[in-house]
Amino acid sequence: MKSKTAKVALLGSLLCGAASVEAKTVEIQFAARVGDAPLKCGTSYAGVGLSRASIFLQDYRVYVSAFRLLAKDGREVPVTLIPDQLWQSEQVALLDFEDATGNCNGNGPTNDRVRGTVPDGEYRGIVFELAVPFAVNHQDPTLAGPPLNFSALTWPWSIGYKFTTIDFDTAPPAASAPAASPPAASPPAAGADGMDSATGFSVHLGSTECASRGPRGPPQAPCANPNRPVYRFEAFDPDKDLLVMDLGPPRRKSSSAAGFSTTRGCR
Amino acid sequence: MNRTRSCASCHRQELAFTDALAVSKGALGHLTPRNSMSLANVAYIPALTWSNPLLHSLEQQVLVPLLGSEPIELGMAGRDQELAERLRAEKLYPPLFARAFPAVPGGAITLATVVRALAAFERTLISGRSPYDRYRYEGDVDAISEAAIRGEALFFGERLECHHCHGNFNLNDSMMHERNRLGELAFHNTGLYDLDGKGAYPADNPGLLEHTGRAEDMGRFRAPTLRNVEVTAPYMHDGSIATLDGVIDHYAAGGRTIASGPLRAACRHRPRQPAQELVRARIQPHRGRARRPDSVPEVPHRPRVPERPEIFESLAERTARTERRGPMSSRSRRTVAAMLLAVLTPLATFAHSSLKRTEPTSGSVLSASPPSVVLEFGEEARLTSVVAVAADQSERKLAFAPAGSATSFTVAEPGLAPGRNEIRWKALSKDGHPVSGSIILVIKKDATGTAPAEDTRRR
Repeated sequence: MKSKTAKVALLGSLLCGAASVEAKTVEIQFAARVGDAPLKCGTSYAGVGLSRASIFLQDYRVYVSAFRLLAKDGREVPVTLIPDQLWQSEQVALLDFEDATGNCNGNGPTNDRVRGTVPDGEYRGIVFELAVPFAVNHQDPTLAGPPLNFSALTWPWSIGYKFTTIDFDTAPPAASAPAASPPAASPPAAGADGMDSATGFSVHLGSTECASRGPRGPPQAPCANPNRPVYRFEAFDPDKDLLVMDLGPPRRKSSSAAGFSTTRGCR
Repeated sequence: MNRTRSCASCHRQELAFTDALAVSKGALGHLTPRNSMSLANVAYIPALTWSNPLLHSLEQQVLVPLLGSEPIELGMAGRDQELAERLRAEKLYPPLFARAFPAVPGGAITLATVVRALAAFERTLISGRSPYDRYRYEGDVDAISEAAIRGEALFFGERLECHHCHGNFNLNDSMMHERNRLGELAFHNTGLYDLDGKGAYPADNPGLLEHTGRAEDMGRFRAPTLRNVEVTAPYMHDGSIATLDGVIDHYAAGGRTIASGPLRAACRHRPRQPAQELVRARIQPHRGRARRPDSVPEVPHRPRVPERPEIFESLAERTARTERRGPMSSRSRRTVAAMLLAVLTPLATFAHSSLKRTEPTSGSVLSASPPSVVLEFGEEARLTSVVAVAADQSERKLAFAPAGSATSFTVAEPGLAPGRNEIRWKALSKDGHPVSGSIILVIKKDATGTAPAEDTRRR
């Protein structure tokens, strides 16, 4: 949980032109849970969400970007991601909570942290987006570098990436009639189709309505529905704290990835 | 993913690369929302599938069936390595990939090279030199029947207006090629659904709106090519019309009425809607020409259904005729026959006040250039130009009289070349609006093979 802190010299900061600024690396740690239980492949979780369904993990990979730490005075200080040719580039990082065991798709390795550098100092909060930045979201995915090189995370119909590839097999609650749930009891953001037993339940979030004007070329302007949720935690110490994505019942102040409001883009 | 599906599962060559299903089925049995489209001449389409303005290249589009998860089609997302291994295991492929991708180390079989190979193959699916092409572009006036030529005149005429959405060489209206680099891309709402009285389409198929979010894009889909259309049933984006006759009936009715069920709707209460679509098609730049919306003549509220034209050819007659040919020419011929069947079927028409009558009538097949061509308008107009376009696309200005306002104009001794001639006219209506159109006159070479106007053919 504790991330180690190191100090390195940040060479020639372009932004402020300072010759050298003391910088430190930060590791921002994430966890995926269902209530109190860690989310794992091969495990069934009962009574999830408002419909109290059982879920069985298939995939859980999410892109995160635009990290900023909040300084004591409230300033947002950008975190410079450290490219590692695997989990993160300068623009975006991939969190991966599936290990291809059980019913999971994907691959063995997992990643629960984001590594970057910030100017030395004390920080009390964090801001980030659960998204692939626009500048790299609409490239050719067959030629893209890591971490945008996973075909399972592409969203070819909308020419972009699924910011959240969260897929479950689902089963209705054992005790109640399966088809009787009123619309209000459906899982968030998926409508009545969310409980289709054949396809399970997916939270695929990505930018939509990105139509380009001419017959050629990628979108020139930001998409009408960027669907890039910004998460802001005023009290977060990157050296001590953990960002928990909880798929249990939606709660206020929850960081549950299943809680986005717009239905378009969440499939 | 489970070795049950290939690209050809939904794109069968004998069906013009479609699958005869209303909507297609994925590897796990999930249904796609839409009807499999013909791949004929797909290289020229600037935005692929029925209504996705983002899919500009076949390389992008290939990823949808290959990797898409909504629904799963081929289901290869995240299985790049498996895909590569399976192809590598086929002896045929490694040397071919090495030859096709010399810049890729070892001609590696990867997702990137596979989608490029698939796209390159699709670009070779060219439909050309059908009997209609030979007639239209090579001057072989015997390549199609006289009934088909009359049908062509209706199809490309201003009375039925089929050509506004199906008018280019691929018989659609979205096209891009080296002589049209900007491309043309059009989407149309043809009045198939109206679930809420405000034009709503079913949620899984809202059309262009899905990508633009604009209310006015509800139900707008790209017009498909009509090449080989006879074998691509069922029709429309969701395969909801079983036969070509049904498609014609739909356009004749000016919107579809669904009497019962969850999609119950009566688009008929908006009888002008398809006509408005045609208006929209006309005001979009078509082959570089923009037209003012108010130059479109009034459309009557109640479509007038004409009597069955005597040139109508029954399905049985047509089949008997086309099956005399070999398999390739038969198929190509059927393409044209089917297209023309579409326009020869009884159809409601919208009266145009512009051109009332011509002599000879459009679609006439003559043994020699006529002594004159008469253009008669429904009201006084001023003819501004008449141009004859011959089979080789050469254009020649024709003199006409009178010079001022009149209802009838005569082109004396037009000297039409053997083959297909399109007589394009432009005029100013009484209130000063530009109107234009064309008629088709075909001159057959005489029995001895010497055409009366042979020397004018190449100008």
